[in-house]
Amino acid sequence: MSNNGSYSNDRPPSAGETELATDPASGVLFLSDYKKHEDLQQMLDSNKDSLKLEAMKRIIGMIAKGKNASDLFPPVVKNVVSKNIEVKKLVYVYLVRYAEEQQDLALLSISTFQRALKASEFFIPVLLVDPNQLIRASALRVLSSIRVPMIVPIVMLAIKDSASDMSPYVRKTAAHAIPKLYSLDPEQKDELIVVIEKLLSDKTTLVVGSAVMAFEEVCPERIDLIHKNYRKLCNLLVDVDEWGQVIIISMLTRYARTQFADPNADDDGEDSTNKPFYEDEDDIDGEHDPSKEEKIKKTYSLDPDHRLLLRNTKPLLQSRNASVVMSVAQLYHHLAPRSEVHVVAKALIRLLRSHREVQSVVLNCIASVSTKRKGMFEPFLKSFFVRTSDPTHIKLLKLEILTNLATETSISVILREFQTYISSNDKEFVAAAIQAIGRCASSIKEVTDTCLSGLVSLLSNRDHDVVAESVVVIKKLLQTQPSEHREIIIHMAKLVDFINVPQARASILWLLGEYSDRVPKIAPDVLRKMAKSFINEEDIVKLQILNLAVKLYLTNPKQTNLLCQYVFNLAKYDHNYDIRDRARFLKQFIFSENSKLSKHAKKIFLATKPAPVLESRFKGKKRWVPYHTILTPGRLAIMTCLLSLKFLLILL
Amino acid sequence: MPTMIGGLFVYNHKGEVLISRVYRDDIGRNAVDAFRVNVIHARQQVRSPVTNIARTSFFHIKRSNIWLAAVTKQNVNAAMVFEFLLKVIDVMQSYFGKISEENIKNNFVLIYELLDEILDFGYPQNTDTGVLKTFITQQGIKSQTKEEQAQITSQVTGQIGWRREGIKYRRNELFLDVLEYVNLLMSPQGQVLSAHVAGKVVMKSYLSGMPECKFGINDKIVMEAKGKGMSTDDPARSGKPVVVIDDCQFHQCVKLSKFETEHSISFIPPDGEFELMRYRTTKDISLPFRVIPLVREVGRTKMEVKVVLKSNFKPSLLGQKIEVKIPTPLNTSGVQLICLKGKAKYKASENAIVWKIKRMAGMKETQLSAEIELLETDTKKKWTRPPISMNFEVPFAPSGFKVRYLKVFEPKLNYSDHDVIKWVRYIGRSGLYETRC
Repeated sequence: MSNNGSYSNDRPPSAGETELATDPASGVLFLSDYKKHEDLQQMLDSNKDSLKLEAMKRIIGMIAKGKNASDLFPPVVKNVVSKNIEVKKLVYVYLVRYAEEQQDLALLSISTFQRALKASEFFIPVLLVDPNQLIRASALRVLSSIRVPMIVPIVMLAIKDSASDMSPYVRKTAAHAIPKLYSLDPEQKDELIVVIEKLLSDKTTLVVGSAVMAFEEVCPERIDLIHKNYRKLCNLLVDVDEWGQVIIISMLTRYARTQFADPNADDDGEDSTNKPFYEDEDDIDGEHDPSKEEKIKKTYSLDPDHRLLLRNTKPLLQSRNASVVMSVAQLYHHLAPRSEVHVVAKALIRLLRSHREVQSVVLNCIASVSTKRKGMFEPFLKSFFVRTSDPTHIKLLKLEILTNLATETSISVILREFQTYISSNDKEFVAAAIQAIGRCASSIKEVTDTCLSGLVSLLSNRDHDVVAESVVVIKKLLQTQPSEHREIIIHMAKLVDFINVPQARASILWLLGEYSDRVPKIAPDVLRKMAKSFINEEDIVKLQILNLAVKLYLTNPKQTNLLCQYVFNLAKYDHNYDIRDRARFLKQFIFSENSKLSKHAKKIFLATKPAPVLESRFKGKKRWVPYHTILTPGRLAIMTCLLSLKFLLILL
Repeated sequence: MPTMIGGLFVYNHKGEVLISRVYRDDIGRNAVDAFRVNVIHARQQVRSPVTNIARTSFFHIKRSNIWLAAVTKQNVNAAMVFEFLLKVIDVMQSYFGKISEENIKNNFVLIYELLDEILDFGYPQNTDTGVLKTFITQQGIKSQTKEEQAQITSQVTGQIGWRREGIKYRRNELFLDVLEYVNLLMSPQGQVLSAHVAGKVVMKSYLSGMPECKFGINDKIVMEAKGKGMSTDDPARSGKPVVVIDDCQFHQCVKLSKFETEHSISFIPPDGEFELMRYRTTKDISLPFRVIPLVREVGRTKMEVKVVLKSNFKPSLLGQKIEVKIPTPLNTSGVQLICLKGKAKYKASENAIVWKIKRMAGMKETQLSAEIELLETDTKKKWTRPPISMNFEVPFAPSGFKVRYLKVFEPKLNYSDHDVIKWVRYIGRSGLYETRC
């Protein structure tokens, strides 16, 4: 915080006056700001606790409203020695607030105090002398919360003292003070590590959670500090408070991942492509030759300490705190042998009944886990059925999971669900459902044809958006399917007259260009229509018209030469520079006879393009963190629509 | 990966900041505005409870016009942040009731005090309301005697955070409420698409001293373990119904390690009301009500709906607060209703027929028929037929959950299990109870 910052907070008294009138916290209307503060000052200076408390409450109220109460710093801080615990607490609140906001001011005041009282004499007596551990602890807390570099040595001293206090509560507070001091002055690291080491060896449940927290923040790389405390931490874990559990579990996960052998190292993840194999694995392990070796390796493995961790964290799946359950799930995901991971599935499913926000986090998690471990969530398939009352983002996540879980056996149930989803009101969700059908179709060969015919029937749906989305998906499917689908392409060509969703139009045009040999009569006609409407089309469609023109020119120059030239002339004077550029660029391939490019034009444009891979956007996330992902629906669709462009860019 | 919260903001619905507390330097003052502009003032519906703006993550919750946002720049455990925000709301609610702008404005000081206590440098701390209430109070000055202060200290700093020592009651009493929510999704043909019961056991304990309680239920695993140990009687054959609990979770007072090894639920309860356990079952759920819809579209301007409601439980029991909500198309112009029982009304504002029945005994059947007149519209869009939902309350546990015993042991004080007065009550309510039509 700079000088300017603190000055700008000082409001002119007149401004304060007008605001006071509407300020319920002040209770009484005062004539001027100065007077009011004078009044508060008197109250603070009085002998009565009730007056002091009243004054402090009003001051905190002012602060909460964003008003400046910094000029009261001296009279307020004097009261830090008050016997009344409530007054004292409010003074702490004030102190922390202003020390943080206006360091200059705090520094100034503290140094004024230092002259009078000496800072060390001022705080430390409170810390050390007070017989009440609660007061000792909160004094340390406030002292460490004052973010003024000058008091670093004092805080360091206080932390050291408190770390060996009789009361575990004070020791806990000392642990909390460590990261604060560290962020204030990273140079204290070495000294702090000594304290952390001491606190890590503490045997009370109250302290260890906070000690680990300090460890994680200050010196997570000093894994050697954990070694001797590892078993103790595992054993205490169940009795630590919930927030401490979260921190300890995540630290232990990291520890175990670096220190123990990966129980699933041999069959490196990715079972989704090969699912039945792993499902059998639990029962009939020795079926495949390579898995025999695996089995031998597996039985020998699992260090007793590793087992200890898994055993001691398992009961925590029953915790009431969702974050504890999530942490354990994370730990199991990373550290448990494949056959044991499934125990967390139930607990995660339970969390789905929790608040909407937690539900979203959990679904995100399941979505990314389910790309790797299908079998784990398969028994709970029905839990992911969408409810009309779910908000859109939850619906989309559920859809994603259902798609990930689809197998030959469950696909019929899932497709029936998807069918009901298509009649939903929620447009975005409908679009996603159609996409999901496409993904199921491409991943499960048995149902590809049923899905495709289903999607084609959607083309006669009354809703434009449904039709458009189906077109996009069908386009992708046709690309993955080498077989001939002439009728579908003809059907789509007819749709050009009705659909006005640019994405879909572009898809149709691309399809026609790509498979023009199958509909040799229709494609040029569509190009003719497009040439007519060229100027009114969206950019994405214009680009595809150019593409179509080029491809048709290459296969059927007799019929399309003139059309093609016409289109390129239109594009040459387009508003959009992308389209002008593209036109100029493509022209080189077809209209200039002698250039090197035109010799290869056929090879370039009519090469078979790699089909888009329809897969979960959660796939391939290396690190599984219980964290959300940035949603970019439709990204895949756009990418594939522009595939021909991408293809060219790669080539050149 | 340290997990902590960089700051906490509370906004009203207009996006004005009511409370702001920043713990970390990396959270700039402009973060407050960023959230307002990008989330609160954003036109479209909230897409996700987490929003990323300029590498800062905002975790937000909205409760009746009030936004709560936790801010961080680190990759934190998202579940933890939400769990914490929900706790903050719990704590505030228990202090001043409804979360509203007015209540928050009137309790600035209290909230700052609370935040100071439950979040230390961004790390969640003790969030147990019971404990917090002992030393953060709303009434101005609370003159504390030395004794009281010592008590507070021992509770705040003690190993058993949820109960203080030296509690005394003249009458030792405890109340158990088994509360279940039945969720159902049924196809029009009456096929159960998904059904589950989310239940909880809420306990109110007024017990002296530090009592140790043991809680027994008719869970399948427990019963089987018991059956093997004591007699050869198969619990299933002996006629006692058992419940298959898919999954459960407990209040922090329950000794989880004991549950894991011995399948027994033992604990030292907090004083007063708390939620002992939550559970979920999916098997053998007795669905208290069945809705059979019949929808017939007669031409373009008329529709006939018939809904049959069957109650499916013991005739001696009474279902209460029954409400069936039948959605109607948006272009409904008028509705004629006939129902055999209760009252039915067409509510244009909700686009639904709401049929209310105060009481209904088990194994009964009743029905409602409606003629819906539609305005002719030119929209080509078909009506999507949202599901029929219903609400009810029944005096039994649809999952078959039974409390077998709750024993209280307090070795230090002279009262025994027999002296404790115990009350048990079962309530089954509807969760999302939907039938597609």
